[in-house]
Amino acid sequence: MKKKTVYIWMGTFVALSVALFAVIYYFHLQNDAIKIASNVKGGPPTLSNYIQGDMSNPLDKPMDVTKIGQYVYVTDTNHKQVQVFDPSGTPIFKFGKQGTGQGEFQFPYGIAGDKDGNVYVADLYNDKISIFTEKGKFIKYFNFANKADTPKSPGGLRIYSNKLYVTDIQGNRVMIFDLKGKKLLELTTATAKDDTLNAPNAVTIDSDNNIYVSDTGNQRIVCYDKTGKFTRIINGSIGGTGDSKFVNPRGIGVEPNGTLLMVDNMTHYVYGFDKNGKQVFQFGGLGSDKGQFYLPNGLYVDSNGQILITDTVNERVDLYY
Amino acid sequence: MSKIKLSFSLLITILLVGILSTAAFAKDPYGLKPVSQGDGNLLVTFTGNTADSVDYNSGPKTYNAISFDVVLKDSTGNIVGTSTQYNGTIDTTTGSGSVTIPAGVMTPGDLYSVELYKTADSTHATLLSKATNVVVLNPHNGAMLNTNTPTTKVDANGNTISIDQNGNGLKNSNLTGYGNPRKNRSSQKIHGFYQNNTNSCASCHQTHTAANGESLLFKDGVYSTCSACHDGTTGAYNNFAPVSTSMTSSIDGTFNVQTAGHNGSLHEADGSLQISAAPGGNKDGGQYNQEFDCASCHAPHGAGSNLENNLNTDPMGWGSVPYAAASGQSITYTKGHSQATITTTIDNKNGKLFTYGASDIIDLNNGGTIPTTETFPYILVKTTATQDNVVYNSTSSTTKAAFNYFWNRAGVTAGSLVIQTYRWTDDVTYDSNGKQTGGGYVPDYSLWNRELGYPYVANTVLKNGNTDLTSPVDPNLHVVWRDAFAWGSDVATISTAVVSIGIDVETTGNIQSLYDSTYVGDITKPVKDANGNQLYDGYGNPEYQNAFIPDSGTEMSKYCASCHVDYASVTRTDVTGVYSQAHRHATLQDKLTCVRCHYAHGSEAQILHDANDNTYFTLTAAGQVFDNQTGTLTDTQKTTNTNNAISYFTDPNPSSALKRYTGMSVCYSCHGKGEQFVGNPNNYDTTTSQFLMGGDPGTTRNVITGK
Repeated sequence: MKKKTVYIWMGTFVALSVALFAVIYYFHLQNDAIKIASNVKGGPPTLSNYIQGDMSNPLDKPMDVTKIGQYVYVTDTNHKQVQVFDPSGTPIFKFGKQGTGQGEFQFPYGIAGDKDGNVYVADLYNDKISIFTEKGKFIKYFNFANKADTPKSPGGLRIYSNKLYVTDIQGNRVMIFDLKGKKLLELTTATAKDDTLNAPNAVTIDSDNNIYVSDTGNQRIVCYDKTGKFTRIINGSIGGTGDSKFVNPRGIGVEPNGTLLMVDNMTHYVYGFDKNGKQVFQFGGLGSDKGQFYLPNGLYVDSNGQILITDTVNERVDLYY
Repeated sequence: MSKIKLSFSLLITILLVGILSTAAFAKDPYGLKPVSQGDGNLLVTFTGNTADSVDYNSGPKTYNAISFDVVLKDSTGNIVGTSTQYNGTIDTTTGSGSVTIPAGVMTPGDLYSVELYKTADSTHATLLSKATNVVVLNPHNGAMLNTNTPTTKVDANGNTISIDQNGNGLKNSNLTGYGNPRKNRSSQKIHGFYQNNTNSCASCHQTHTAANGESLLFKDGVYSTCSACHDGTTGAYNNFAPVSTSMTSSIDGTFNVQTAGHNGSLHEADGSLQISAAPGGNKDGGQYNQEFDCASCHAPHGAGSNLENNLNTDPMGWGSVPYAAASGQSITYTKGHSQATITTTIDNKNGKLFTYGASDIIDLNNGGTIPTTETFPYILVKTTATQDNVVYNSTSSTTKAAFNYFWNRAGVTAGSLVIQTYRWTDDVTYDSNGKQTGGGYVPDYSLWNRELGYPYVANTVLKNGNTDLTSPVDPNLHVVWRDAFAWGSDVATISTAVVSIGIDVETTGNIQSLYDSTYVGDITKPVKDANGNQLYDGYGNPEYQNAFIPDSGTEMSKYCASCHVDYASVTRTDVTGVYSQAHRHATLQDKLTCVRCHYAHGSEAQILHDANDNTYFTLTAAGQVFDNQTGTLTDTQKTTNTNNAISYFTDPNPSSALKRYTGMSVCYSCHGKGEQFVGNPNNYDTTTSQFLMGGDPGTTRNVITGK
């Protein structure tokens, strides 16, 4: 190829790029361009099977679920215990009972596992996060290095990269700790100082460590970057600026393809959102039939994209791929 | 061309593309954000550009006070109003500014765009920022009630009414305002959230496939649906709150009871029982065979004010059951809003729908007298308010009569005509020995049901001949639906009426406010629930705070008696049921309200009281007999003391009675001050080292030592 031709091609390339971005800039097409650039491929996940417990030990109001190793751990909240299953739904064992002592629960809620397989369970009423071995033996309570950081009522709980993410429902805040109990970050507000979180129930992160909070009392999801800087609100209205269409948003998680999933407890649907917060699908609906929910709550996405959703009144955990 | 040159050129190209794309995708530097407000206004906020800021090297960042024009354009690009009509100046500290485009300028639902220019740029040559697809929502309720701010409203007849933080001033029975009583914007504290494009109905209802009766409910869903929010996972009131000190003086107790070792007792509201299971129940009740669940007592759509804890105003649907005087007798009555005349053989002595002809309304101003024998359980009486009737002073014991309280609250002026319901009570006159000698009629402040929607059967109507004075409301008649009376000059013209009696319990965080007429409460402090959530602000009408609320204890008893009919004595001695002739506590009065001895939701060892009103929390405090707080105690000692305290308070007669006092110590809690007990050295409890103390429960007890 002649030098001149190369220069002509490159010049054309630059000129076209300049023209394209000038058009985007001057005609305010940013949002449309972002939409085109970030279309989520693939639709809603497919139901695989249910985890229900056996006849003598059914789940009662399962609030949250996680996967540790190959096993599924479910907070069987009204039974004040944790039930453990294999992914096909076979009950393996259970631990915990009603009470305020060590290894006992009043309202076991958020559940998460660390890399060693230890099980962390948040108790909304006992105001503690209990740590168990993977076999369910109580080890200790999570120790908050600074007592002021102890959540008033710990709800949602997740562990990512040796960091504990916990929502303090009554405290209206979300905190991130290292596993030794040192606070790394605290989120209390969304858009502005006076726009505080209200009863946040769940927290998750995506592959870029952006943080998503299910801000239940305000009927919205609040998105932050990894440093805790507010980025956007998702509430079902265009751009998140109108009245919310959510009713009691709960569990959230991010699929490996970047789709954000949210359980909308009182509409009995699970919604999927792309990276810009635009809803791309929904599934579920009120009922007890296959694929329906009745007051779903917890949601966990494992590294393979397997999705676990707790269905509190249908007394089951739904496993989706 | 060498590879190096080619690579260099490519790098330059990529760099250029990168720079340009960064610029193109850069977020709006002026932060232009138009947001529709609930009242129909559009609030447009913007911030100054970094280029407008000054002096941030040598101190805090500040901005120049630059004025911006906000230009509103319709969907065809035409400017709405003028191009310089809306402008605002940015704050020099925050750099943010705003412009409000008032309601009415934009058509709700239409698409608009908003452009931002500097005001100095008078020709608007340089567009700084633009927002498209701007929509305002229809305010649809006008400036409807916001209970956070005291306000006035003009009702349908042009009368101005004042509404305070607690919703006082609203005069329809569900207290949700005129015009659109069930609509609500998110800023208002009515149960749940409402918006015009709401999706929340489907939380509970199914239009075509519901399994549970005409309410279109999904099967067995009420308890679970309520619990989804009221379990502590939202900011809403937690019915399952763990036991706490403040819970021991609450009305409700908790559903989170421990049965094992604590002998918990629950009001089983999960739909597993029928209402007919209620001890003392009356099979003639309106919904006797319905499931008992949260909605049996509470109004899922909101009773309109958190003061009532969303209690149904028409429990059991009795407000639509016509009252008939004798068994088997047919009765003719006017049916609710439709005003149709119905003849029925329904006979239910507990019916709460009363029809009054001209001769039934007693006019004290024209020679009428209140009967001394019972005719109807509820009668209608006209009278004239005196100056002494309309003043209420919460700190004065001399003006604490219920009518002072309610008439004062409603703004009744001296000399005004008032019409109100009186109810029959057997417990009204006593001889010199304190023995009851006869019953009589007393003013009643239940609530007049006002049913403006389907099925129109529990509605109160006051008429002048054939003219309904309540719909639309006569301008010379102030109907105080909530407290069951009406006042104004046109009371004189009321000749007939249909009255549907509902129930209105006004509650606070402390049960003492229901039964103790001397209780003032602390009006400076906000009232909090057991969970520490604020129930009411510590300001507003002082008499409306934690202090005694006349008649509310009675209303509470009537409320419980909706299902536990026989346990409400006093109104009638010949009530139907198993224990119709039994002797019992006279519960239909403030001082013996049901919740004085029972919790509403559930009870267990840790919130039970003993005869001296000690609780688990008082006796396990530092220095007390079951101290589990003092730091020097070993864990074993603390555990032992905790277990001993629970054992001490565990009810030896476990039942479903939702008791407030352990065992039968409830008797001593009131009667312990009697002569048989006072000063008796045998009334010494070796566990607590306390003598039985005199005094009313909830008040300061007097220590009574041995002889």
